[in-house]
Amino acid sequence: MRYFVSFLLVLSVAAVCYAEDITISADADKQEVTLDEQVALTITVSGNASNIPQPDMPDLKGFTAYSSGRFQNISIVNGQIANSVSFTYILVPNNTGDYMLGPFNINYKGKTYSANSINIKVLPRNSQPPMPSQQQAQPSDSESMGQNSQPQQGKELFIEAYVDKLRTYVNEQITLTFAFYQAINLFNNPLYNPPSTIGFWSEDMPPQKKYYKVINNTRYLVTEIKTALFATGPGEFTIGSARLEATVEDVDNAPKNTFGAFDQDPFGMFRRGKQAALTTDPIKVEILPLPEQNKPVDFKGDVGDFDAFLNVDKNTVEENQPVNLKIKIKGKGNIKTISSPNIPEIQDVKFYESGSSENISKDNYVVQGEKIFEKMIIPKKEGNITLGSIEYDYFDPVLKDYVRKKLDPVIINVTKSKEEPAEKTTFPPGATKEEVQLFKRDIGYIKTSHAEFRPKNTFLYKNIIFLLINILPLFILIGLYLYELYRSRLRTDIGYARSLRARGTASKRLKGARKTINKNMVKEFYTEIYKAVIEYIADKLNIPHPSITKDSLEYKLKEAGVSRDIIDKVKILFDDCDIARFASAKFVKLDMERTIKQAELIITNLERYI
Amino acid sequence: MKKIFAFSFLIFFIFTGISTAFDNPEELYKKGNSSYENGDYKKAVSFYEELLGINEVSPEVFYNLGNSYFKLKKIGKAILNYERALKLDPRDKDTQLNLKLAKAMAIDKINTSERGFVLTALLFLYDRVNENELSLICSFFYLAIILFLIFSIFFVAKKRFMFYTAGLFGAIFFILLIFLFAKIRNENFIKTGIIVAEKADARSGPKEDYLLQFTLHEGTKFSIIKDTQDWYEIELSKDLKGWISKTSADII
Repeated sequence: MRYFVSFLLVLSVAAVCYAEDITISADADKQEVTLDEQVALTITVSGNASNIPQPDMPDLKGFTAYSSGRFQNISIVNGQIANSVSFTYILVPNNTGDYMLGPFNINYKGKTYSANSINIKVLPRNSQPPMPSQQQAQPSDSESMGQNSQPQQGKELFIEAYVDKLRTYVNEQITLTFAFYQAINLFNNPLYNPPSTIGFWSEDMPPQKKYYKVINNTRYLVTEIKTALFATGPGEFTIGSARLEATVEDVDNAPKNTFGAFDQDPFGMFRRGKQAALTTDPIKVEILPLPEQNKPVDFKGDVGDFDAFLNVDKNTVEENQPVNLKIKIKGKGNIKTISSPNIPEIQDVKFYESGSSENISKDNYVVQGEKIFEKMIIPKKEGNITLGSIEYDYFDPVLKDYVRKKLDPVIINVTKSKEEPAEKTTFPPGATKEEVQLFKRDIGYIKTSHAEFRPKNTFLYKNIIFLLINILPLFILIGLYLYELYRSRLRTDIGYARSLRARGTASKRLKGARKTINKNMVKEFYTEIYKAVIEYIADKLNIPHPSITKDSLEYKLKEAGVSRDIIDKVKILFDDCDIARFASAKFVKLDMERTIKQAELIITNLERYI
Repeated sequence: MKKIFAFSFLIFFIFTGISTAFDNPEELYKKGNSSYENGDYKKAVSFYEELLGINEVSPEVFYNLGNSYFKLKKIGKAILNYERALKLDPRDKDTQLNLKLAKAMAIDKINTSERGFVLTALLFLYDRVNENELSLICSFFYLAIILFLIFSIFFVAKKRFMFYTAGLFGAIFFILLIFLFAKIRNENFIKTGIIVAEKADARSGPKEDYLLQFTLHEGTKFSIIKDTQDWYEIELSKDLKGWISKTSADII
């Protein structure tokens, strides 16, 4: 028992060794950081599991986190798989203070593993030895408040984002400008993360504008990126913060060259880059709904300043021939969302949409252009068609009212077709097959054919004749079977056949004997009687009757279980017969009558035993 | 006395008069059909119902009656009559289709145990014959077996062949006989009914003041467990039983 327990222990230890084990650790590259810097947070998950999930990121207060990738390392040693995955995040501090990051948890197969938390101290700018090369636009700057922000003085690198207006109507253009001011050289092209513009339809407006601007005696190279935004619905929306990452010259840590001539290091050979991440503050924009007052019924949401034109490719057309119709809407506003104005139905004219095209330009950073809706119309009858009373409604944010443009009517003259109209019964070659369209299902129609009537509840199995027809053959079969059984016994069993025949032959002989009574043929009578009885017994006992003697007869009868008095009766009868046959004694008719009765009685009695 | 005699004589005459006037089922059937054709479904119903009242049945009449009820939006009655028609003529495609449509319009969804593929294949014949046809088929096989056995008595040389054939027929006969007994049992002991009233309240006992358990809507099929004077005890599925008033349902 003890051995067994220790065996179990060994087993369980082994099981623990082989169990999938996961460890998680978190590590930050520095404990103290200024607002200008960023922290690289690495979470490493390792273990012999094959599928390592992503750790749950806790709420990183005071930081903005960017995932910077995942690095996996798998090693197999002695058949053991060691898998380690590092998830790296770049954290950019938003505010000063002491922050505790973590704990970091990972959920694997129902178990939760956690890593230690990390304390990070965020210091204000310049609290460390000053880093003149790294500056960031101050939060709560005037940039988010107004149209134009005054850049901070004394900084060599900063960004700003602003919009041209903070209150607009739905679908009215807002121009978002992102400006990047630089007074020093960059090591590489800066990485620009555009702000999130959820709730807006955004339209990039290239090209980037580059110009020099002198602010407080510093000459900045300004790069402007403009984006047109169109709000998709009313309410208050936030344009997220834009972000720019750049590598700038690190003046402090540049190696000091003792040679004055190289102090300037004009080639930048020994300069070291330093990462700088700049962010702007989110901008809140209020989007006004379009006024309900005077809103036309056909209004489809177009906002701006538009003009609409209608033209056709020909003014005279044969019937059943197509005419191309173009509706052009031109102006300033969100061209892409413009929808086609309604064309009223005209009798005997078929309209087919044939597409739309748009042509957008962004001159002066205003989205403008034209959208052309093409339709094909096929007049079915000769006469004049007036394509008029087409109206186009839009909302003008400057006038703050709806404007209705009436399109100039176009008259099309439809002439009689020279060709005979195609006969309707002819099928076009290669006509496409269509599925049978089921509009609505209905029950099948009633039966009008002859109805077959029958009395209620007529069940065949209750019909006596039917039952008789079925039962009778069974009896026939049984009868035939029994008959065949009988016949086959007669064929095979002589004793049985004789015994069956015995009574019959005996009766026959007795009948013959009875006939001789009246003729007074005494000898013949007794011979017949004798034969009848002796043959009967011989047949019944299946013995050849000539071989029967009186003594053997008595013995055989006794053996067959015949009672004593019957045997005696048989003996008396045979004695009588012998006397009559051989001793020629006088036997009268009365005696013969008695004898024949006696013989019949004997046979009847014997029938019971043999 | 004389008066009574005269009165009864008069009644007798009226009845015989009526019955002779409409006794011809063929005539009534045609009248019903023409009423249906003219869109007078109510009249058609009355003709067909009268026709069925004179103890004569016909699958065509049940079918047409079902159609008339369907047109009158009485789904329960329609389903009832389609089922009756199918009982007489189980292979009629029109009836099957109409029954399916009518059932689709019934409100209640009862989860009946679905037959599997094997069972459906086994019961292929069962669903497609009525009692009398099945009786005849059974009888045919039975008589064939008897005939083979009789032959086997007399033609000893072919005895083995005859026995085997009879055995094969016997196996088929056995299955058919089970089918037939099932049909007879369904006909006589396990009756099915259809809700014909728009709504039928199923209670926990055969009286109005018993607890209302559930409500059924017209067209729902059920089997009858017990049959009292005014109430049926019905079963919808293994665990759904209740008592409904006889006025709201009809036996198929």
